[in-house]
Amino acid sequence: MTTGGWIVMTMSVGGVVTLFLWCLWKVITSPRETDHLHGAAGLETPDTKEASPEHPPNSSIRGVHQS
Amino acid sequence: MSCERWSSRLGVILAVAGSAVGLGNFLRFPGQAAQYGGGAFMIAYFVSLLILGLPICWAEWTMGRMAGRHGFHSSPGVFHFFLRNRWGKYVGVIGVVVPVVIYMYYVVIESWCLGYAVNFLTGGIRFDSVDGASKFFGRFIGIEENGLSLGFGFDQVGSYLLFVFVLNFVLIYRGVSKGIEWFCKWAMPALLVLALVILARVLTLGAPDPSLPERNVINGLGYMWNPGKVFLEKNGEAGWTRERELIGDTEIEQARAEAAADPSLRVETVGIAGQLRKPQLWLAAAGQIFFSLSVGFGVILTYASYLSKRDDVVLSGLSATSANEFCEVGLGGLITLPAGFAFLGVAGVAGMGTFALGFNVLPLVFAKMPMGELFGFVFFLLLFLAAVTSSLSMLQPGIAFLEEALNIGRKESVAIMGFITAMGSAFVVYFSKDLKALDTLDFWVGTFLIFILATSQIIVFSWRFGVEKGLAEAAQGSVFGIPRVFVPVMKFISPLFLLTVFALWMLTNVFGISFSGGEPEFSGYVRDLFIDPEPVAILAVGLVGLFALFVALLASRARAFRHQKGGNP
Repeated sequence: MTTGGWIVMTMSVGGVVTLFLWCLWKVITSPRETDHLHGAAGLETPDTKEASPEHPPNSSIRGVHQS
Repeated sequence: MSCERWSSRLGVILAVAGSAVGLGNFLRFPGQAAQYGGGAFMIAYFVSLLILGLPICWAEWTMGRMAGRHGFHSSPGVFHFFLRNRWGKYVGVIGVVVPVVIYMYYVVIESWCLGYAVNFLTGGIRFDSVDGASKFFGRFIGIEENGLSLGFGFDQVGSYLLFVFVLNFVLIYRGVSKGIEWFCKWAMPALLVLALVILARVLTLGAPDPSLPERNVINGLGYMWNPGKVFLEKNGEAGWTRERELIGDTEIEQARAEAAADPSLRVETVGIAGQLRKPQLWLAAAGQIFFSLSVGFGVILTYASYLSKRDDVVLSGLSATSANEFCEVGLGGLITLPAGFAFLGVAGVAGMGTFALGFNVLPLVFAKMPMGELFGFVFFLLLFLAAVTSSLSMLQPGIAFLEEALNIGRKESVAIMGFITAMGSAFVVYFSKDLKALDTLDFWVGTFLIFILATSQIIVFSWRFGVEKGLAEAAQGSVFGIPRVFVPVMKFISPLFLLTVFALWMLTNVFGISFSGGEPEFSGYVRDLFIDPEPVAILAVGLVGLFALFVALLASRARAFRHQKGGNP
C-alpha cells in the first residue's frame, strides 16, 4: 500500500464516519426531529390498511402523516 | 434527556439506517470495486456520491413528497405531475421497471444468504481452501449449467428461494412496520457489531497462504485504495498489452528484474488520471452509488409521496445516505475486497461476478475465526434480514403503480406483482450458468436504467420544477435546508456530468470508438447483445422490454394520468 493509498483510505473512511456521526448528533440534538425523520423501508403505506386487521381504516399509522 | 427519549431517538436512527443497508453494501460494492480496479473506482465513487448521489437523493425525496400531496404515489404519476404533458408518465415507467426487475434477481441473492446461513448452521460449509469455497458456491447457485440450482436440497437454491419469495409477499401484503421495527432495533445493531468483529479479523489476517506472502491484507487494502496502478506489459503482435497488475514492493521489484532481462516486457505505472478516462468506470461508480442509496430506483419517490409537509426530507435523505456509506465504505469495502485479495489475488477478485465475491471470500474468513461457523450463520442470517427490508421496499413502487393505474386494491395489485416477479425470478434462477441472466439484468437495469432515471429526475427537478423552488420545498419541515452550494451542482454539474458520461459510454462501448487510437472497446454487455449474441442475455433484455411495454400500456390507459390533479408544481 502506497502513501497515497493510506491518505485516500484514511480520508474516505474518516469522511464517511464523520458524516454518519454528525447526522446522529444532529438528529439527537434537534427538538422533535425524530418525529419527522424517516427511512424508506420502515414506512407503512396507507394502502396496507386494506390488508391488515391490526389497522382498521380510520386508525392513524405511525410514520405516515397523510395530508 | 430521559432514557426512554434516548431509546426512542436511537430507534428512529436505527430505522433509517436499517432501511438503507442491504446487499449492495456488503456484496455488490466490493464486487464492483474489484471489477473496475479498486483505487480508481473509489475516486469515481466519491465524486459520484457528492455530485450525484446526494443531490439526486434530495431531489427524489422532495419531488416524491410534493407529488404525493397532490395524490400521486407512483413514478409515472410523479413525472406526470411535474412534466404536465402526455409523455411525462412514460418517463416515469422506468421508475416502475427498475425496482421490480431488480427485485427479480435481488430476491435470488437474498435466498443465497439464507442458504449460506442454514449451511453454516448445519455444518455444510467448512472450507479450508479457496477451491472448496468456489466449488460449494458454484454448485449452490448452479454456475456450471442452467437449471442446476433448482433442486430442493440443503445445498441448492430452490427451497430457499421459494421460502424467501413467499415471505416477502406475505410481509408486503400484511404491512411491514412491526417486522422492520424489530429488525432495526435488534438485528441492525447486531449486524453492525458483527461486521466490526469480522473487520478486526480481516485486518489481522496477514497472508493466509505463507507460500504467497505478497497476497496479504495490506496489499489488499493497497489494491482498493492506491491511487496509482502498476502493470507488467508484454509487447506482442497487437502492441503492448497488459499481462497482470502488480501489487506490493516485492512483486514490482521482481517484475522490474524480469523486464530488465526480457525486452518484450515492461513495467508501466498508470496514474489516477489515466485510469479515470474510462467511461465504463464512471458509469459503474455512479450506478453503485444509485444502487446502494436506492436513488434512481423509483423507491424513494414512492415512499416520500406518503410524507407530509412536516416531515424532514433533507435530514432523512442525508441520514440514510451517511448510514449507507458508513456500512458500505467503512465496513463492506474494508472487509470483502482486502480479504478477497489475500485469499484469491488480483486475478481472482477481478474475475468474480458482481455479487459472487462475498460468497466466495467471507466463508474463508469465518474459517479463520474461532466459532467461525456460528459467526458465519449469524452474519448471513442478519444480511438476509437486511436484504428483506430492501426487497420489500422494491415491491411498493410496482404495487402503488398498479393501484393507481388500474384503480384496484392492495390485494389485487400484490397478486399481479407476485405473478410478474415470480416469472422473473424463475428466469434468473433457471439461467444460472455463469450467472449470465443475473449479471445482464444487473447491468442493463441495475446500472444503465438507474442511470437514465436518475438523469431524468435531476433534469426535471432542476429545469422543469426549478432548483430554487425545489430548495424552498425541501426546506419545509426540515431542520436545515439543502446547502446552497448544491444549487449549481443540481442545475448544471449533475445533469452535465451524467449526460457526458452517458454520451462517452455510448461512443466507446456501444459504437466502439476508441479515443486513445487503439482497438475499439465494446462493453461485454453490448457484445453479448450485438456482436457475439448470447441467447440468455438477449432473453433477459427482452424480458425487461416486455415488462416495460406492459407498464407503458397500463400507464397510457390509466385515467389517473390523463388529467392534472391538484395545483401546479
